[in-house]
Order: sequence, then structure tokens, then C-alpha cells
Amino acid sequence: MMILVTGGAASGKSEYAESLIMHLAGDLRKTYLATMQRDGMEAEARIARHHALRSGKGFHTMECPVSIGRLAGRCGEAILLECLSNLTANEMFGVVHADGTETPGSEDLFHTDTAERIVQDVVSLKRHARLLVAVTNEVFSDGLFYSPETVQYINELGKVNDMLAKYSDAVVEVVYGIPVWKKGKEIMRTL
Amino acid sequence: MILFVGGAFQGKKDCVQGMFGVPEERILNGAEEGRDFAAIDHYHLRIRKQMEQGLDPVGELETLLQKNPEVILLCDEVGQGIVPMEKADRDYREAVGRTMCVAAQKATEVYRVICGIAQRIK
Repeated sequence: MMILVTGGAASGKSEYAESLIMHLAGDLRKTYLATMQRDGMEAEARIARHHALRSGKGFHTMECPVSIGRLAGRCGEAILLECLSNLTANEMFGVVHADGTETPGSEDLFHTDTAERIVQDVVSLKRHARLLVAVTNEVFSDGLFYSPETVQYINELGKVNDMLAKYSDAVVEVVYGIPVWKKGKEIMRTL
Repeated sequence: MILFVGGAFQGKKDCVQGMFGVPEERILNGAEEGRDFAAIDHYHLRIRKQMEQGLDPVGELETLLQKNPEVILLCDEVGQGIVPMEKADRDYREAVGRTMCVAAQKATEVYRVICGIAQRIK
């Protein structure tokens, strides 16, 4: 089963995604797959906050800021993937890893298959797992004007969300901690 | 407490007035204080002011609700965009989100307004 959880910044989507996996995973081994790159104090604070939320809940944490498909078959049977907005940015603009090495971003941001590659990676993770809960982000509604690179990022993330929603059994938007189901609400009857 | 959230200019105040019959003079605007009220509009602006004053928005909300358990709050959803460049803007967005998570938890009813239509989500 695959569930896509979306929501704005600080909407409570992480907490909700985690509660979903706690309800649905049963005895499955749980992996928290983190895509955020460690690039400063704010990132560390966010990581610490999320870590505190998960502590004592039996998650095995894996950090993978790019190319998550290579972890297919190496995670637990229940995966909490957080989050696709970081992953998309990392794939497009590159990352600096904890050990100082770098993975460059796309050579040509405007002619890429970033969204397709990410979706393929997620689908292969899913193929080797029983349950995948993927967290993404609503970045589409501030109505501001951005550089072409940022607009392209918004576009790619939109494509990722659209495609993954099609693959997902359920899609839920979290509004300040409240689930607003877009698809597959029936799965909640089994909880 | 009853909570109305939604994007800017979606008709939240009209919904509150239509559904609960709150007269204009009993609706505070943002950080405004000092008169009898049944509702507070633009609650995000109140949070912004609290942050400027070094106050904790969640603590301020809890105090408000202790004194006014029946109040109606209206707040813009401000988190659905690209991460802002300025740290102050990121902190503001985060504070509005976290405060509204607490508000939604404490509310007896939560409505989300889009295109002037209020959908009850709690």
C-alpha cells in the first residue's frame, strides 16, 4: 500500500504521516527515509524536531538526499519517506553530503526527467516494501514570482505529486493536523 | 472556539458573518485590542505582532482561549509556498503553522474556506 501525504509548511503533515504508519505497519520493520541535506543550523533543528517525534517508536533511520531508488530492497517493509520536496530540490540543484563530498544537480534544469526519475525511484522502493507513506509539500499557492529555476522546481514537484498520487492507494492533505482526504479514504476504515 | 482557515481573500469573514451572525463591530482585526469582540480576523497578523514583541504565539493563543473560550478565529493559511529566503519570513510561516495546529486541535469546529465556500473539516 502507498499513501501520499501532502500539506503546507508546519501543517502537521509529518506528525500525521507518522501516525498513519504507526497504525498501519503492525509488526513490519519500519524505516524512516530522510532526504533532507544537513546544511546548517536550521536543518539540524528540523532534523532534531522530527527525530524527537519518532523517538521510541521503533524506526530505523536512513538518510539519502538523492537517488533513493538505490535503497530499494534495503529498507524495512514499512517506509516513511520524508520528503519529496527536499528530494526534488536535491536532485535538481545538487547536494553537499555530510562527509563534504558533493553530488551535482541537473546539468540542464529545463530539459530534465527529474520528476520521472524520482517517481521511478519511489515506485521501486515501494515494490520492495509492503507499506510506503510518502510526505510531500504544497508549495504551489503563494502566488509570488520566482526565477525560472525556481518555477521549474515548482513545476517538477507538481509533476512528482501528480504522478505519485496516481500510483497511491490514498492521498491526504493535512490542514493544521486535520486530514482532508483526496483519494482512498476507505483505507481509514481498516484502522 | 471555532476556527476558519484558508488562503487570503477567500471570503472567510463573510462566511463567519453569514453562518454565525457576528456583527462587524464585534470582529477585531489582527493585533487590534481594546473592545468587546466575538471574533478575531487576520489572526496571522496578530501572530506577526506577537513575534515582533518577542511573545510566544502558542502561549498567547492559550491565554486568549482561557479568557474567551467561545471566540471565532480567522487565519490565513500562509504555508503553501516556496520556502522564503529571509529567516524572519520562514520563522513567521512556521509560527503561524504551529499555532494553527494547536488552534485546530482545541477548536470544536474547523472550517476551511475556498472561493467563499466554507467546508467543515472538523
